[in-house]
Amino acid sequence: MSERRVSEKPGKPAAVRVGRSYRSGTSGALYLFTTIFLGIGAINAQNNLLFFAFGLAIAGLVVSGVISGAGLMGLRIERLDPPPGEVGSPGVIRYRVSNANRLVPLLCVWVEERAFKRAGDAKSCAKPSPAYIELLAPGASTIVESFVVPTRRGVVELGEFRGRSGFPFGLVSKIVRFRQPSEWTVRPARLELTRAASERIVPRGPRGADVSSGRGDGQEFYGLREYTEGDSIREIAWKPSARAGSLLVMQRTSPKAAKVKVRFDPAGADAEAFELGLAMTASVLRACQESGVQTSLSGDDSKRGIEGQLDALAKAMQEPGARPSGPPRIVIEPGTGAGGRGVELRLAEASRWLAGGPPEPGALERDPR
Amino acid sequence: MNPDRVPFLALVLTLLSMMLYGVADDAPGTALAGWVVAIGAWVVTQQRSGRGMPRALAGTLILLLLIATVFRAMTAEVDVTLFCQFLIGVQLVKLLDREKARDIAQLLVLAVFLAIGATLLSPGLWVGVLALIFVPVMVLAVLQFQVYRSREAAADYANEAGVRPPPPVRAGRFGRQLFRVHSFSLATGVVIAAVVFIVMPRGAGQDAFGRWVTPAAQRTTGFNDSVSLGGGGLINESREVVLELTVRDPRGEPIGGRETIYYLRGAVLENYRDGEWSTRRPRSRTRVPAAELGEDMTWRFSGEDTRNLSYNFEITLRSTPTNRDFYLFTGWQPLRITYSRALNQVYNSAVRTVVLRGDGRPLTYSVLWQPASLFVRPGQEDAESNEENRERRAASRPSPRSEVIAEVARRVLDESGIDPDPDERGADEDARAAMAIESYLRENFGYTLVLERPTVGADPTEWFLTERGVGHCEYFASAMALMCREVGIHARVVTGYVATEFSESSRSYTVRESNAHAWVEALIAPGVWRRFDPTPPGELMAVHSVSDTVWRRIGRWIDALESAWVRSVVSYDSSAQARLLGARDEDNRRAGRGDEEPGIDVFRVGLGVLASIVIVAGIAYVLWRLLSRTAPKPAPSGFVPEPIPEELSFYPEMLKLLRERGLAKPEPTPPLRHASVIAGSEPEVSGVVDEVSRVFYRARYGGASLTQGEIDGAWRGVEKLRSISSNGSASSGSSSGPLPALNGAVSENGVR
Repeated sequence: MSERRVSEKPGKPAAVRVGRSYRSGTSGALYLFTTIFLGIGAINAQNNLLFFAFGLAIAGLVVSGVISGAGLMGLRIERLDPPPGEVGSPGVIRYRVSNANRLVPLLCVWVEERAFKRAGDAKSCAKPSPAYIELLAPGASTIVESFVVPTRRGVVELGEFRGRSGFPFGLVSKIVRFRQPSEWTVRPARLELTRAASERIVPRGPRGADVSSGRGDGQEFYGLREYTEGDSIREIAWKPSARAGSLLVMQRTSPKAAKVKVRFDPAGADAEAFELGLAMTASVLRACQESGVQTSLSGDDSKRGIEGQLDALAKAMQEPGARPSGPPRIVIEPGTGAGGRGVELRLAEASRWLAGGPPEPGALERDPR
Repeated sequence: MNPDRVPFLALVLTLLSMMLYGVADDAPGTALAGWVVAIGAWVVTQQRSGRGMPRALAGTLILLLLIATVFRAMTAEVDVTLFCQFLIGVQLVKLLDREKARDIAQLLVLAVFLAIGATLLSPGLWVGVLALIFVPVMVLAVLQFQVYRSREAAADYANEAGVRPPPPVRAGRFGRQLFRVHSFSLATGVVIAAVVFIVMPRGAGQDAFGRWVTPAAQRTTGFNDSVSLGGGGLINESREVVLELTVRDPRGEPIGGRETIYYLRGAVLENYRDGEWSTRRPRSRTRVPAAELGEDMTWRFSGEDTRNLSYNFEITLRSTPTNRDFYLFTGWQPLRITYSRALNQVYNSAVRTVVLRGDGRPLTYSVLWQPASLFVRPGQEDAESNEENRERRAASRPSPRSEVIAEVARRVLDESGIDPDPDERGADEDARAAMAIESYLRENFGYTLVLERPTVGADPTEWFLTERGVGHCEYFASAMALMCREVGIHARVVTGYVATEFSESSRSYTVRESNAHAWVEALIAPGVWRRFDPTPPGELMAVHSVSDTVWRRIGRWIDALESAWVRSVVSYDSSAQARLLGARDEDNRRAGRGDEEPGIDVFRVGLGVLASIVIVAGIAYVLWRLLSRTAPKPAPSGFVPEPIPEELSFYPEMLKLLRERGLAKPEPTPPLRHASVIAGSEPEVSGVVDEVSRVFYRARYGGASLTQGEIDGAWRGVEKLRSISSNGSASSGSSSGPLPALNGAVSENGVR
């Protein structure tokens, strides 16, 4: 089997073409049957028009092979680093597809992964929606997207993918296989928190999550000072100036996000509760991020902010034999700039914190259909 | 070329395939009814937004069709016609059940199978012409169908994943690429098909799987091997072409002309009784099965005189009757017949006729013949004794005899100074006597195509000679033959065709059913049969002459086309293949002597095929390059911008003015950046570009609906740019506030 390197970038595994294959379906079988029938009919009837039709049928096979073969010889595909996915939501995998042919266009090409497997595990995604390229002119390239719904959290190993096309006549599917090892992080499912949960976990200042901590360009009043040249006339506090007898200008607060520390304490939860806890933790982190609250995750020291925290949740493994120290729960502790006490979301009360209730049993870690 | 129109293409293919069937099976009614229902079904389903009839109903209808077809097959003969009619029924049901790409695929497949069925039924010119239209449309439909089906699959995948389906490629851009693929596919396909057509071996395996076409489907000639006088009605004037004839002189050059008539001899009728002429049971009949004809496919009659000039008839019969005997048309006297393919034959050496068993296909053959008047065996005439002469004349006497006809014949000879008594008349005067009778009939009787019944109980020939006075060629021939017999000259009626319609371009004659004719052969000397035609020659020419109206001329062109089609395509067989592929003459001659198989010049064949491929590939490549040059370069990343709508046309106008002023915006530079770049050198222009671009951006990418005021403001900006370009600089009044209306409009919408 010949291997052919189709692209190479420093520090990134290149896509390697590993082979070609052909697959015939019902239409191909029907065409073959028709061709044989035409040949027999021509010989049996000695009908010269049928001889010509038989020639056309054979020509169809040849032309199909030439067009699709020449087209796929110039097909170059490179998988781009896939953005993280989430269990239960369509994830996107992008490919850069190029047509290196000088004359032959590529039509109706499908790009699809051969398998979505979690490391050392079974398949972890539902049937993917392959990427589709309707037309790629000679010399052109484009970026296309394939969609897939992950059914399991974790790091999915992506290996081989393939480009296939039945063009021009749909008789035979011609397939070109590529290998480009890479990983795809699948984060826990996105669960919608109830309003009550959101209000509890997001620390609130006078205007929501913003907490004044010093002078700045915020909206809240901070203090007064003497007018200096260059100050905006709009900032002059006219009444205090009148009282003071000199021009005074208003100073405003500087907005600074609150911080919370999130900790998931599985406390001997079973596998299903563990997944639910991870999904709820991820949802809490996302809710905080959407409210402008900075988060840190207990156990994550990647310094990558919420992206790193969600990736850590994607890779989290349940420690075997851990002793329960209480009911499984998520603890949100206030950090710098956040007032109030810590919040605890118990998994046993998941129906209280999740809009629509907890997911169906097995929904967060299921076999793909 | 738009893949969304594939369903319509499927309808077109369906209609074309029905037309093919109608032409091939001579069933225009079926095709017309199919058209009406198909178009009706299409209109109905289109109005219902592509929703078809319920699947269960469609399935039930197809099942009923299948049951009906099986029932017909059990009660009648299974053939291609039945198969085609079943396909038409299914097509009509599927047109009403047209929802998804799969249904369109089924319609395409049905159309292809119906076209194949039609081709099986007939290889005629019009079937070929329709097939030539059908094939490119079919290839186009199949190519576009692949895109159509892929779009549907992409939409299904996207729906499953809960995402938006990818947008289709713009039709114009798509069409150019598809056109190139279509042209290449068609050109390559035709070349390969032509090669397969030429080199596929012919002749072997015929009817190995039984006969698929009913004999009734084949057209036969209107020629009959008997003459029945006394019927009423009109002579058949059908212009159906029966055969093509090329006459070659002894040097092999084609000869002929509009004034030259050739007689094609078919059946020889020697028995007369009650107005009916029929063939005599042959005494010297030779059966020759097809397999025993010999390698050179030639049959030789005895008696060839090498001293006399011989001519050649090259004849292509448009079709032969299926599984029925038919007379081969020859010249008089035939010496040698060479066939393009072997059929079972029966030769009657006494009258020199040939009967073949037809197979429904065209037949090409050549006949070497010598004019009868020259055909006298040396010394035989002198050597004949009076006894032999008497016996010959006695054998010629008609039975039963007709006193009325004998009286007329005797009177004619008396008036010509020839002794009517054969015993008293010299043998050398028989020719004169026959000519006198011929002249009598030509000069004293009229010609008509209207047939009338004779008086009840009267012999038709007597009635013609004594009462009626007018008749058609069979009456003339019958009258002369019987008159000759009454005066002791052995004579017989011959039926066949006269070739009168000569084409200068092809140097050949076209013979139609209306050219059927009857004449007489009389034994004017021992072993010397000479042709006499008592039909008045003027009348004969008038009946068989070719008028020169526009329609007739068009008809002749079509006939010539059909003739070329039959000769080159339909009649292409093993001998034509050997000629085309370079079987050398000496090989054929050796093969004719049975020395060896005919050889094929492999080098010549290979060279020809190679040259064809190179020429076609060259043409395809040039075409491809030309199309590549005219096609616009594709966007580098596959992104295709949507065309700018009419209401935003101020933006391209602005870009055009910038180009004219030498300030062309580079393709990748956004217009606002371009405005800032030129601000240093062209502040006024920069201001206008900035304002107009912001309005354009708001509508194009902000999704805002522009008010008429905003559009007018943008156009005022463009006009200002134009005036700057034409004047060299803007007026001082406008420079301080370049676009008041535009500014107002934009500020109003809070853009700035």
